[in-house]
Amino acid sequence: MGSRHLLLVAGSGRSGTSLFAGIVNKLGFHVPEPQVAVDESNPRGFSEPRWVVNTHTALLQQANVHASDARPSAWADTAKISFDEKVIAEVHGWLQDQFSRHDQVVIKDPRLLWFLPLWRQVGEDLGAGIHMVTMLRHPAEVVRSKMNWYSNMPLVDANRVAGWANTMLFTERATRDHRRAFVRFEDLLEDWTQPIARISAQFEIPTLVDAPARNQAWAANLVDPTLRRSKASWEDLDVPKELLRLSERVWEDLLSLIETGADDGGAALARLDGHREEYVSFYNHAEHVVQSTVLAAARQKSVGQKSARAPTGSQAKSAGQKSARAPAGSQASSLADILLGQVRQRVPAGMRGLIPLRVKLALVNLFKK
Amino acid sequence: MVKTGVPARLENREGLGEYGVRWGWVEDCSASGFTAVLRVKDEARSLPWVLPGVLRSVERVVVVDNGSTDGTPEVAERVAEGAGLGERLEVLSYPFAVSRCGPEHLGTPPDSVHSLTYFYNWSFSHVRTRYALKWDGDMVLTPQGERVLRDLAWQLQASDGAITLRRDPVYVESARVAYVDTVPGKAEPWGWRNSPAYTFTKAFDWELMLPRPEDPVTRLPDSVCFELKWLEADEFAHWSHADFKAVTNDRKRRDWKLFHALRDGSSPPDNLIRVESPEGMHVVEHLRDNYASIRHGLAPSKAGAPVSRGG
Repeated sequence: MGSRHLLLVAGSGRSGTSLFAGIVNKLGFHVPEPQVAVDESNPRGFSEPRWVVNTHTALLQQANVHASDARPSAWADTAKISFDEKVIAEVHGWLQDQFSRHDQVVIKDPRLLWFLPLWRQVGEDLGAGIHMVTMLRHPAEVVRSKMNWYSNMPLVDANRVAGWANTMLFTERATRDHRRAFVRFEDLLEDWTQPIARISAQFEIPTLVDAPARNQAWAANLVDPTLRRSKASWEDLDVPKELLRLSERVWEDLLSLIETGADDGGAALARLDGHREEYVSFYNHAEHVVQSTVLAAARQKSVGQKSARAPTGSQAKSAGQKSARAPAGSQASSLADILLGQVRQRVPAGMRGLIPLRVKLALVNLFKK
Repeated sequence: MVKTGVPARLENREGLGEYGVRWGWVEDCSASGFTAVLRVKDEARSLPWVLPGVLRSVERVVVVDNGSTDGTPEVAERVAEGAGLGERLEVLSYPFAVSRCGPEHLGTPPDSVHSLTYFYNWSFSHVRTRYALKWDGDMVLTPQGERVLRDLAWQLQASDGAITLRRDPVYVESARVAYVDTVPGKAEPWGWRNSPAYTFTKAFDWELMLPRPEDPVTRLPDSVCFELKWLEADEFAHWSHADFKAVTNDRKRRDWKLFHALRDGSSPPDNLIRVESPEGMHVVEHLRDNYASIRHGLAPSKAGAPVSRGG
């Protein structure tokens, strides 16, 4: 293997990806500058290159895909974008610039999982060894952490869990057949040296464990067990049993890959293939069930558009100006907030649990549009 | 579920039950990926360059031999075994004379075993995966193309659509010299869902299968593959004439002109790149490894830099 290494850190947001990238950064991997600024949600830094975040955000927007999108068809949308030769050329140019100054580069961004084939291709074209690390954290912990830190997003529990299942199932598939490792967030917090040593050996990157003592101390300083502020419990989370059971099975099978990678004889991989098919089928049926809701919303939207075109006079003009200034997303979000808030106010929690997930997902996705 | 009214069984007017079309559509959320279907006739020379990459990239490969006289079926099996991927290959025989593109095709009813349309439908009815991939016996996948196809198997798992790609002709003069035509051709559908929405119908010059307007179409990068044209061979044998139509067969007109100019040593059209491989390496192998950089006008990683032979 040559001296160039590209380490791609994937995983659901709030799964310890920042911590992992931060540790390998202290042990010699370069995090391209400038980085995203530290904030309260991640006091020790994100280890996210600003260029990467901006690029991924723009590409996701172009594909109309959300960072934790629950739609399995969204993978086809991001694939299409990734085949654009202009996009490939841009990423190639940027990464080439990074490798002109550093042999070991780590890329981390919660949106990265949507573009793993793109980065892998560009990295290989530049002669780098490609390594993929997927961080694992129990879905209930992930959802609680997101509820806490991303509370501005109008996503319900069930949709967040579905987003976790979709992104993790397909990230596992995307990293298959490549040099990869799975790391449990909890293990990193408990004793970060063991997972890193395992990866160093598995990826044949001895510089990680051979880093100077001072760097190892810096890495150790990043690890703070109190960072794990959300615990794994489904209690109080409003998730349909079918999705909950599927997520638990996915979680168990992903955990089984920690020790074996992809080399367990294929049993876990076959099970994960089955889970992925089950999830796709589950989601498709959910869309079919709520077709009436979608059609009703489409009718309403059509009426709304017609009436928006109709007004005349200064009052209507003023309203139109306000509307034009408001970002499209904010309108959709506020509508979703209002409607979901009304549902929460009027329907007791116990009754809400009886509403099928399909209906909830469709409502949320619908109102977000 | 897609409902198009296409019957799952098609019979032929000759009444040959053994060659009836029995579709194996996949309607569920299967992650079974792609089956590449190669309809071939006398492609023994190209298959050693073509098959290994395709076998590495898809779940299953069906080679349908149409009366080859150069040992094509045996070569296919030997190449697959040599690549250690024999279990992915199925070789079938379609023993009927198939009408050539153009007037001959026009005069053949679509439900005849001699029709290109019927031949294609019969060939693709052997697909048992979620997606079908049409592949020619002279199309060489690049390493980038192999990666793209492997990824698409899971990326399109929940999508009902088609993939399009462009393939540039490469004219092979000798074991070390070839010419790449860089004039962009049209991206055409080469992959689609194995469903009733995607079957072949008859058009004037050839068979036709187009994605429905509402279906998502994924366009692959231009450097995923190239098409071999051996200057020693009769590359236009599957056409019943060479009087290609100005609009619909514009690309074919250029191919024909270019092929004969290179073969006869006269001045070829512009926008050709001459590629010479390093000593000891076949030019097709050299092209396969360096195709993206050659197309982009960059020097390939090995010796034998491309030389522009036109504007």
